Formats: sequence, C-alpha cells, structure tokens
Amino acid sequence: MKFSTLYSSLIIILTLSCCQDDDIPKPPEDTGPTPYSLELPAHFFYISPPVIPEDNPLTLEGIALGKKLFFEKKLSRDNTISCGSCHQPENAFNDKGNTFSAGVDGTLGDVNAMPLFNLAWGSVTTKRFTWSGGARSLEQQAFVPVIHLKEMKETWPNVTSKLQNDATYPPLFNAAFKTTIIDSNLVVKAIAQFERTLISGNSRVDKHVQKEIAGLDIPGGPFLTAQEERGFDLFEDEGKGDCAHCHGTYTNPLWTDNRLVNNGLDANPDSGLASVTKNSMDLGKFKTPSLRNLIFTAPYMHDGRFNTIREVVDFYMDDINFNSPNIEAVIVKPRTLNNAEREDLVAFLEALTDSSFVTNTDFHP
Amino acid sequence: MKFSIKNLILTLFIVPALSIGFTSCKDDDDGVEQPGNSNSGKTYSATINMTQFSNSIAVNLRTDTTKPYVNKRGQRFNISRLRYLISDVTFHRGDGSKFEIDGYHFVDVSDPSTATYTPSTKVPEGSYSSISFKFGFDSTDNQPNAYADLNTANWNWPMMLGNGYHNMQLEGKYDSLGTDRFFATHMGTARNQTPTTFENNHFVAQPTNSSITISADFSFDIEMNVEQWYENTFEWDFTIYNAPIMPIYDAQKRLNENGATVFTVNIN
Repeated sequence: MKFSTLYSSLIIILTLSCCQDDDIPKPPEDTGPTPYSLELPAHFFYISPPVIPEDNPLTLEGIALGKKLFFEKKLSRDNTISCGSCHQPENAFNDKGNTFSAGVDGTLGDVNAMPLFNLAWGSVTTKRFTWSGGARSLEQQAFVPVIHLKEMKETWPNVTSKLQNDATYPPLFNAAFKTTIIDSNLVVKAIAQFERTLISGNSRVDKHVQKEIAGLDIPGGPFLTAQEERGFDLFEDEGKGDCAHCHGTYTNPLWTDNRLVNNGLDANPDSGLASVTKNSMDLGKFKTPSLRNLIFTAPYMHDGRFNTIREVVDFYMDDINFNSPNIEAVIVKPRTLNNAEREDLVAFLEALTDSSFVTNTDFHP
Repeated sequence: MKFSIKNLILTLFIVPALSIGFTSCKDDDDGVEQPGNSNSGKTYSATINMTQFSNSIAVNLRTDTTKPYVNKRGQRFNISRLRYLISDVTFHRGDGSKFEIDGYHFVDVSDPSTATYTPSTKVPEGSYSSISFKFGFDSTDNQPNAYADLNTANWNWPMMLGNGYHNMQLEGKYDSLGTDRFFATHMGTARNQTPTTFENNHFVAQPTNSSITISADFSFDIEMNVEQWYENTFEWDFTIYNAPIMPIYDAQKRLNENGATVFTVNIN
C-alpha cells in the first residue's frame, strides 16, 4: 500500500470514529481474515524487504490453515505423508540424515530435501525455488509434491475432495479465504503463507551483527569466538575461502544469493536448471543454498553427497571439477586453506546455527 | 457525538507522526543544482539505457566454451557474468555549472529490468555540453552496508579490503593455449599494503560527444565497451590477472586507469 493511500485511509477512519454515535446500530463487523505482518529480526533491515504476492496477502487465518495443511497427510495418496514428513521443523525443515526422502511407496526421490526458511525473500532476486529452480513462486512449488510420483503420488482432485469431506476444513478455508469451496489454488496459497513465516535470524552470528555491525543494544556478548571470527575472515577473503561472492556477508542475513550455478561437483553433472529451461548452458546449475542451520541439515548438496560441513569445505579446497560444463567462473580459483583454517571456517559456519528456529512451537504441528 | 480519549491520542500523535514520516521520505535520486545555472524552471525525465559491447559485439552472457571476444594480447574470452554500478549522473553546462542526479543505478546484465535507468529526478531544460557519471561510488557514498538492495545482491566489498561496495564484477572464460581458464575481474576499493591504506577506486566517466539540449523528456545510452578494460592503456594479461584480483593493488589501479575509455554516450 502506498503511504499516501494509507495516510488517507487513516484520516478517514479517524474522522469517522470521531463522529461515531453509539446510539446508531452498527453494521455487522467484517469477519474477513486478519492481516498479518512478518516479524523480522532487527538486522534484517540490511536487506530488501520480503516479497508478498498481492494475490496472496498474509493473514492469521491463512497462515494457521497453511500450517495445518503443511502437516496434513491427506495430501498424499495413502494418507501417510505430509510436507512435514520430509521437511521436519526440528531439523530446520530438512529431512535430516536422509540423502533422499521416501515417497508413499517407499520410492526414493531424486534430490535431497531442501531446508525451508527465509523463503519470503526467494522472490526478491531470482524468483526460482527448489534445487533446479523449476518453481517461480512458493505457491507454484506447492503444487508439485502432491502429484510427484516419487513423493505424494496423489491427484489434486482427490486432495481437494478429501479436504472438502473433512468437516474441519471448510470452516478454516472460509475463515482464510471467505469460501468453503476448497480448490488446489487455495491449498497452495495457504501453505505458501505458512512457509513465508518461517524466518530464521537468531544465531550467534546474527547477534554479533546486531551488536557489532548494526550497533543495536543487545545484551551479552561477545557472541563469536576468536576462531569463529577468523573463520569469517577466511569466508570473505577472495584469496582464501571466497564464500562470500555467492553466500554473502554479515549484512545479507539470507547467506545465499538465491542464484542457480554450477559449483563444479562433476565432469558430467546432473541436469539442474537445464531440466527446466532445456538450455545446455544451464546444465549442472543448482540453487545456492543458505548456510544457516547446517548442523541440522546434513547431508549436503542437491544429491546429499557430503555428510559433514568439513567434507564440503574440503571439496571447495581440493576437489572442484574445473572441467564441469558451465561452472561458475568465480568458483574456479586456487583455495589453499590449511587444516587449521578449514576448522576455523567450519567453526564460523556452525555459528550460523539458530536453535530457537527449530524449537519455535509456532512452526511445529 | 462522542470523542474518545483514544481517538484524541490517535489524532494528536499518530497522524502527525505519520505526516512527519511522509515528509521525511525522499527519492533515492535528489537533484543537486550547482551555482551559475539559468533555467526556465521546466524539467524533463531522463531514460538511460545501459548497454554493453565488446569488440563491437553485443555482450551475450554465456557459460559454454564459445569465446566471441578478444583482448589486445590476442586472448579470446567470453563473459558469463557482468554487473556494475554507476552513480551521480551529471549534466554539465558550458558556463561551468552543472546539474547532478544524486543516486545510483545497479546493472546486472542477466536481469533485463536493470537495463534501463529512469531517475525520479527530472533534469532542468537547457543545453548541456556534456554528461558524466561516476563508475562505482565516490568515497562519500561508498558507505559500508548502507544500501539494502546492494546487500541483498551480495555487492559488498570485503571489510579487509576497505569495505563498501564493488564497482564491477566481470567474469568469464579465456583461452590459454587451447585450454579454458577463468577470470573474475572484480573492481572496488584498492588496498595498498605498504603501508596499509585503502584508496577509493571509483572514477568519473565523461565521454566525449555527449552534449545534449533538453526541451522534452529524453533518452540516451551509456555504452560499456568491455574490451577497453583490457587494452587501453594497460594491456591486460589474463594469465597474470585472472582471479583472485580483488586483493591486488596494481590490478585495481590498472582497471581504474583503463576505465577512462570504457564508456561512450549515445544521445537518442
């Protein structure tokens, strides 16, 4: 809403409220959904605001419905799997420990389940979601797992029928969207609303940024050890770790650029973005993941090939395949961290752990 | 009619507070008029098209092995990524006065929406002998972490190298004796290590043939000629300056020097 519109509306509301006479019968109150604004960590002012689609504004009722649907097993063919089965809140919405997640038949998927947080910023830059970037919005993404043969293996008509026949749902859809007629568009809208509330920004690094960079009055500290600070220097140094070009620095709390790049895993890489665009120059390009909450989200990479953070660091130091087609130019450079420096870098990455995010009961069923 | 205390508080405090907020809001682009001008009071909108060529071939981002461009040393190369920032576009009059649009524009060649810069500040009617702009931020504007859109774009320059923001990221492949090698020509503050000092590395581009008479809304192109980064006057050698070059003082200064001939302006 433009400020001018907000301002005019406010004046009208105040004027009307000043003139209101309690003797005049009041019209029925509007029982529409209650608008909701995201509560952002204090230092998130450093980045552009999240993008909320105009056709799917956040509401308390929509978010509550979305949360219920996120953990609703009726979305799967045999009613055994929900979104939350593979995106577990206690593991930063990742399927911790599983390289690939099992679908309704026990069939394994093709990529590692991505952790889910700070997704409201996914539309600020590249507007591509999932490892291969096939979805252009959270709403669009939510359509896919329901019908994916290796995931929920259901049909949308079946899902909406099951929800429509569950007496608990029509009133919830009515509260969120002013209709008791359930369709797939409303289901994915509600799930997307819930997903946009999954904000992680309370690690020790975040507190360090708030106090030491932003100068906010934060009790406690210092929040980072000397080793972790050394790790950050290596993270940012182009001649050392050079992680920052893709994952950002202290003032990008997303810790990703949300781009899709080929980071040189293989000489003959998996398709990645090329499976979407059919462009050979997108072969091997996958979404840059955030570096938050890594201790909850092993194994790593789109195919879950690395089991520890140290293995990932060692890969970037020793094993990048420079002959991989379409490899990102900025990745191809000598990185020469010794063992102690690698441990420093790992220590810094672990300091991006936000334990309050995984224990937040707002995000649990 | 009843007038509640709550409404009184809202009216007395919140509305004025909002009003202050609105009047405090200002555009990213403020016009800065320097002394000596004489204009009619009429102002017009500028549309600035940001274009990129190398060896007179339009830059087409690619990550394959095709290398359409060549530097003065005969090293063929391609471009997989090109992002840069200009600021403070300024219109100079013959009498020495000038009008500056105080603001910046970030170009990401992979994002077509950044190919056009339409400052919200309008330019006074009149005749101008030339147009200039800054490549990167000057030392006043190069404030660490100050710009949310640039922070989101990971445009920050490392703290250990002087902080602030990049001026440019130009990346691609070059051919080295039949083998593909990679370069990342990143430009920003130059760190001199003997002793450690940090030199703001922006420059003012003032292309020739950029005179313009403004009597209506107008447009012009700012054209980056990429090969000029690598040949005039310093003949860049990709085998020496590939990546990393951000910590290399000489590389940063040579980019600054070569920048003098990189840009041309085409008045439409």
